[in-house]
Amino acid sequence: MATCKECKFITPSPTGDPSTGICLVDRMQLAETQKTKTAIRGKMVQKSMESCPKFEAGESWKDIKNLI
Amino acid sequence: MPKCEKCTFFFPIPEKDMDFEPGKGDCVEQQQDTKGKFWLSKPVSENSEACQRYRPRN
Amino acid sequence: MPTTERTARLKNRCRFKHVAGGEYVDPGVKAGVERARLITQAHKENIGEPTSIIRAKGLENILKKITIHIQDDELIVGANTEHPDYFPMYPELSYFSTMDMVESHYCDHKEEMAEIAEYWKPYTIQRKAEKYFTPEEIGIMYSATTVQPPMFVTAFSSIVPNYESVIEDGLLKRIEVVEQKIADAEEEIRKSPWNAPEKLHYLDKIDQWQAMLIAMKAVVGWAQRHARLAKIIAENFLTDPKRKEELLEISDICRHVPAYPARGLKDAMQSKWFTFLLCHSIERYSSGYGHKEDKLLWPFYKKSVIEKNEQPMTREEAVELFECERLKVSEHGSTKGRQLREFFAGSNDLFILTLGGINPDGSDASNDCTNAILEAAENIVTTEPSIAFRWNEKGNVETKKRVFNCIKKGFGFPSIKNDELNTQQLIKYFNVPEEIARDWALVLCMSPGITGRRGTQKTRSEGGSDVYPAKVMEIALTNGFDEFFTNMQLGPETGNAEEFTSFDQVWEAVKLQLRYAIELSLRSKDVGRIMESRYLCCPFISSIDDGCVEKGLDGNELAEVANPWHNIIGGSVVVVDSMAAIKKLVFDEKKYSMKELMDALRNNWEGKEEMRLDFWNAPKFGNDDPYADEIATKYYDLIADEWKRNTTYSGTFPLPLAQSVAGYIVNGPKTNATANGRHAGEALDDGGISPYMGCDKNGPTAVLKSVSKINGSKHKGILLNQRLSTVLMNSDAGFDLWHAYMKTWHGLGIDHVQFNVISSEEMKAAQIEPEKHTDTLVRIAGYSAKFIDLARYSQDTIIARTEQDLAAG
Repeated sequence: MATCKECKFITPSPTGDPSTGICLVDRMQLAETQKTKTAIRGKMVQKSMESCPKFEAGESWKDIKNLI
Repeated sequence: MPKCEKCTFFFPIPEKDMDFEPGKGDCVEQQQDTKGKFWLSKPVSENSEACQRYRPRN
Repeated sequence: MPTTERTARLKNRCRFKHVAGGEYVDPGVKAGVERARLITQAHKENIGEPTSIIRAKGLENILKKITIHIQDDELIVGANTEHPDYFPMYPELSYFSTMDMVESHYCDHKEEMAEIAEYWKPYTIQRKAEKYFTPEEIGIMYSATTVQPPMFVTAFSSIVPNYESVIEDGLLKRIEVVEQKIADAEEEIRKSPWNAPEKLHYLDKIDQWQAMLIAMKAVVGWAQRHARLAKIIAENFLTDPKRKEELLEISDICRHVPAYPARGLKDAMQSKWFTFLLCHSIERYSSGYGHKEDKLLWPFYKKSVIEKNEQPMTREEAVELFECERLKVSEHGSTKGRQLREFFAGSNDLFILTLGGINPDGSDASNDCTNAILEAAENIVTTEPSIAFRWNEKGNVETKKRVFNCIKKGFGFPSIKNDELNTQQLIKYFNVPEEIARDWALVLCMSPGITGRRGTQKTRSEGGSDVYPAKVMEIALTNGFDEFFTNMQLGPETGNAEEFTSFDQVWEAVKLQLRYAIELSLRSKDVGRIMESRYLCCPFISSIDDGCVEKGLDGNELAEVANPWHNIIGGSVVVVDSMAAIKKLVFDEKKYSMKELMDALRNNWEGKEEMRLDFWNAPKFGNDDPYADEIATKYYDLIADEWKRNTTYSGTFPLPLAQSVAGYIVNGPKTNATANGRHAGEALDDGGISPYMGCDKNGPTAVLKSVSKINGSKHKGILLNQRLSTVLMNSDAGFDLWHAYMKTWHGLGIDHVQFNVISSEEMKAAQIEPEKHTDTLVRIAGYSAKFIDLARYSQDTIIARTEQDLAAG
């Protein structure tokens, strides 16, 4: 079973702690009233956790445009 | 096996310099990549075995 | 356009090191291993020596053995790594930061670096400091949700080097002074009769002075290595007589400085650059480019450019040299920990130099050197270094026009600080003599600190670190528990907002959560400071500070001039607007209950769009609306009062500094829906007091009036971002309109303002065809970045800022 560590939506933890990461998979388009377009609901995760159904293999750094 | 001492790219350190040590010299290498030319210098001992870049001094 | 063909070529081939989303943009960027290898080797060889000596010998080993390089066309030489594409690593600072690099694709020496990281693990300041905190406190700090992780894990610091003493004295003279200090101490401890309390302190001092000697001699030797390399290249590798002549001159300069006092502008620039590398990047890592460049270089500019009696040069050559400096900074490899790489989206590091203001005698400090530096910035078009301009009533109009020219071109800098306000604050709060206070420069983006030969800031544990107010308010409503991002108890149990029956209870909960975050953060800084002075001595940095030399103390330990400040990063206006909406809709009008609000926030307003719009349309800061502005005043006063309760390492209370860098972007996804009508994961407010995106609807003067109601003198700085119309700024009336606006800003006693001058159309076009917009710059907050280097989420936050029409008032 894949873990969060192998998922392309997981970015490194703020301290570089090798055991944790930040998941950036959960995104929503915002209402017309808002001046920005997208919200990203971040989640702190243990990289050893079993991956969720949104898992996609890869490394987050390969597509800077999709980071924050 | 040739030693650095005899290499074109070996330049002994003058005695007046702060990092002078007998037998120590600068190994200078020219490199070029897509962004241009640059020159590297690292300290070596004249008695070190020469590397692949070795070119005997005339 | 670059002034010369040389700077055009240098820009074209510049090895930029900026990051986006926490990653270096240029694929060629790598982690250099030599610094880490050499400091480890020296550490192993010198274990058992006093820490200051171990540190000095570490620096000596690096400077003697690291591969140095000179690139074609360069006029300023020297770098912090073995290859122009690399950045260095600092295994002695933080285990996590080193491992983050080791595991990244930047590190090609994974096995060796992992071994080095493991060797250092028990010696790092991370491990030394962690034991003074509970696992829960470590968890809170390392999650980076309510406070910035401490410097002992991020490895982040900032410094203002004492450039003046190097440029004015030269190191050989300082070596003589330190040798005399040792000789005097040796004599003192041998005087009759023996008196232990009076003599024993000399032992530590002698170690510190010995360490300074080792460091300074190593630095002179390292400069001589550059002198030799330049000469060797000229005599052995080149045929072009002009470049040969330049290299021989560079060789002469590196033989002369920093060993001796600078003679002219070329010497001063090279001596400054060597000192920058050593203090910011080789002895340890520290962010910043804090110095008052026009004051520091003016005597040498006069000698070389105006009087032409030392290293004579034309004005155009001086501008070219300043352009070279900007490119040198742009390709300087800075090694920030993960969190800071994300917080400086689009940038390399926080390189900010300061210009303008007044001289110690009260006269206008802007001179032709100021103008040449601004001209170079206007010509070469790089995001770094950013420039801060001290706006003083006495400042001449010509220089202010040059400031305007950079701003109207959309660089986002100079950012502008109120000179009189900030000078007075240094005098009033930090007891700095007026003539010294008048020479202030920004330490990083926003905080003034003194410059000169002694007493400058040496470490970020003096001033810096962050508290994140929007998240603090979020957990103030949920009994201190973070349900959204970490599932952790991040603060004390201050009650569930569903049960709050008065607006005062909301305030009280916010105050107590803020208090906890502030105190945890301050304690972590001061514990870090002790660890820095015990284990991370910086003998070179200390050797160039007259106070450290006089007292035989390490720069981390000596706090000769207190300058404590602490950032409150992105989200202040979200708090203000949220509080205003809660007061109006829940407690004044009683349209909604706290329970209804909490349900809506927990569900991200789902199925409650009408309710969300009520909260979105409640009074907002930035419209000269007394309802929202009164809450803002109370909030900013609360912040100042809460920090004032504390006394830090340097013996006084810190001042808060409201700003954001890219924290308003990074912390958006960590923050749940808020009562200002914002969705979960949406960006926060982009400054320290910038109205929330799209919420300032009454024009630029209304924004200024709202901001002016805050007592700026209680704060170290309050960052205001404004976006201005490109059409108007580029019109014939552009300068006059902007100048009138600036006079209003200054007259209202506001601390800071910086501008984006770019249209939404241009930014949207850059999103579609980025390759056609490689020089499009934008102001994030505290620094500028290339628009195309930002992630889409970040780009949208710039487009979302309200474009103000100066003509509308």
